[in-house]
Amino acid sequence: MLVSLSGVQHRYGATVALADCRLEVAPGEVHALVGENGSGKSTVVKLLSGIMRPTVGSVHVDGDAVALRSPAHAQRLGIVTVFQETLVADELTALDNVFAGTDGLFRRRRGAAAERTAAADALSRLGADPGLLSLTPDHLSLAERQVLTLARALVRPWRLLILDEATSALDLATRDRLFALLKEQTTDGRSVLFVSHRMDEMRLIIDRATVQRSGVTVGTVTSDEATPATLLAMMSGRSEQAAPARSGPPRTGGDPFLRLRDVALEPGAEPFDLTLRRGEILGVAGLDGQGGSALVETVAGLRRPRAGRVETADGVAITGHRSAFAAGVAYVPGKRQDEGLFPTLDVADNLAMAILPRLARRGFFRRSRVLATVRDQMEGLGVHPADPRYPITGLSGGNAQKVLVGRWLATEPDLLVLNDPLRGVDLGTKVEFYALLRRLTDDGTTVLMLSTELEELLAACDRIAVCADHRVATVLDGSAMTHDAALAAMFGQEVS
Amino acid sequence: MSTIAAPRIALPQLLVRLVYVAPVALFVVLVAVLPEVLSRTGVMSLLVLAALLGIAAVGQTWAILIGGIDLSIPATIGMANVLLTTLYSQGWGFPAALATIAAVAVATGVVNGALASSLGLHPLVVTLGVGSVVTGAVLVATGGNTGGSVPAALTGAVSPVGTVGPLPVPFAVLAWVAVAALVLWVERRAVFGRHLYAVGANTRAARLAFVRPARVQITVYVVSALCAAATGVLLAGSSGGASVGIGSTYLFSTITAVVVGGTSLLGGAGSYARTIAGVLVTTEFTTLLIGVGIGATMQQVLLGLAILVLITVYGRDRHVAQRL
Repeated sequence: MLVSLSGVQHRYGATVALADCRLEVAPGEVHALVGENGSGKSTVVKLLSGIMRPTVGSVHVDGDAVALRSPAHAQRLGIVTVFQETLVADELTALDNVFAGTDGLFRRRRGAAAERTAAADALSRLGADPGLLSLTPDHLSLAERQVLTLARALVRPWRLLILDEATSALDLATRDRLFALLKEQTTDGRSVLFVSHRMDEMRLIIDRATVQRSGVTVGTVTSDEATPATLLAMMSGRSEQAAPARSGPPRTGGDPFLRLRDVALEPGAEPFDLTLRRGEILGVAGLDGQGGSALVETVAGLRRPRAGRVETADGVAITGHRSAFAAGVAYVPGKRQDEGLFPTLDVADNLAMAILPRLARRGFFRRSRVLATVRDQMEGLGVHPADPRYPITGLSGGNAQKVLVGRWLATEPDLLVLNDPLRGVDLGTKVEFYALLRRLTDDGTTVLMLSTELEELLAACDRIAVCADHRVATVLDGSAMTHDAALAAMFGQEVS
Repeated sequence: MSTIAAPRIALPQLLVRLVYVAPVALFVVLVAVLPEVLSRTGVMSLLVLAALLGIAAVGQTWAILIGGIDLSIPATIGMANVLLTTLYSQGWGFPAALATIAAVAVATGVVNGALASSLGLHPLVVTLGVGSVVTGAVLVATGGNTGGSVPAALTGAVSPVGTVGPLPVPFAVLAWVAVAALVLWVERRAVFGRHLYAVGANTRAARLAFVRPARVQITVYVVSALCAAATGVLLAGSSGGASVGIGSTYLFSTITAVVVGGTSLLGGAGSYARTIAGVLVTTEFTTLLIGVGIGATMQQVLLGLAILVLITVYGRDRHVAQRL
């Protein structure tokens, strides 16, 4: 085997990202790695590219266990990775980006002319204009930046090329040229590990596929067996963790509250329409980086769509965060620590921050009035401990999240936008949270909730908008709202 | 792990509470060593010094509370000091001179806050540069001739035997009490006060909660410049003469007062109430050192050491918070 993992485990603190991973990449093959969010495939990529080291077990290269100390170390062993985020340095020219990191501190490994020739060759083989090399990346389109990151990998002496969703921005012609190039280059025993959510595309090139589910390797199948149906079935086997029970039957049809018309989330992405109805819980699903976050941020006014309009049913356009808030849209950010909590303040201050201007008169507030509002919210949300003076850092993740939701509920929004609110929250709190959302919608509030866990959306939502390729690919509701259907849509498949 | 961690948590928390007891305790020590302090003149001269520092430290407290720092305070003190005496001796009225000083101070603060927020530069660099420009500009404008006369009322305002109406308290001390009351009220009961803490604790989260960090930052540096200018004006009364360098000791002493009080240099935690305690402690400490005959240079050494010790101890506080 060129590279293999066997019985590898990886933990982040108490979270088990990989429980049991078995992966073997043979010389000369293109090997696909598939799985949904949280299946552990990103962890596998990070372990192989030297970004992290496994908690248990090790990476084997040519049959020998190696401790990959750094991405540079992995590259010296011939493992080169192209990541989903098109990581380029905007202040360097495209040419310098291609060769960044290959030189010593004082000495250039190759002459400038040789570098330019090699980079131009890589670009032209991908069908791109070598003239791009003199530009800085901020002048390049998303597709051109992706070509650049691919060229950067291809000029290195690679033996295993890892492509982590590195083809999603490419146009069809470029993608085909890349695939042809990979086919040709793997004939001499070099290999490719291919991560993509596009199953149809994957089948054009792969020899075998390994499926991950909840941190465990389900199995490896050959190209012939790797039909979308088989792969989806392997991915979707029920997780061991009991799915939280639904808090009530899905409900349908209130009046429209907010409309997205011909909205394009990224330059060149296909436009779509979406309507949010009063009193519903609309879930947002999708693999990371496929438009889910962009969608909720667009609704919250934090992001301008590349094309199209976001407006309320009354025709009020949402053009920014403040205009969204004025239209009744409140946004609860996803990363609690970075974007939500004030770690040095107490629960009351954390909860009251957004409502304070409304409770104040001429800029000053009465403490009793603020505390009354805070107590109301804490009681309604079941925040534990029920002490407004408690430091926010003393609360569990779930309770801290409740305080953040309370911050925005206090402003009495018509639409509550939640960006992955239950990440790292225990099951009991989750169930409590679903019931809370249901009570809110009973009072006419609309909820838009993104989650990286499908089970969560299936338990909490009335409808689910599934994002793929930076657009809403489909909206599932009623009996069509199943785990399999959502998963299929995430991977660009129709449900059979 | 927990058995090792416990004492680490206990020490700073004890200090956090001790900060309000410290001024009283140190006063007792001071009286024991220098009994002459326990007189009206003795107490009032202590309080006048504390008032001058306390007013200048308002802005330093808020700047540090929002995660910044104001190094232009000495320059603004010097500006106010020189401008007052120069304008007054040129025949300007006292109110007109004050208005001019206030205008320059507001401009200084706006530039500080606007540069720090719009360019994303650290306030350390911005306020250092702006302070240097202010000092230079004052020297250019006055031709380096910084002497002048001072309104008589101002001399009484900072004299330990000065009075305000029937009260046997100099104006400077009463002014500090009024300023402190206002500052504490704003910190605790004003939306702006809560916004100070929000910006210092987590600027990104603050912005998402519709706090305007740039506006908060500019306001803080304007308040800071105005307070520093007030100290500069009052200093004219005690020194008689004037100098652009008169505020130079206030850079170190305002930061000392804030840090001794226990306001976190990382922002988001602390209060002016703590700074008041810090101001009293530093003033008493300095008086004590002078009283027992320790020279100015040795005072610097000892104050510097005191700060290093306190930063080391308080520095742990934040790590504890992050572990929770």
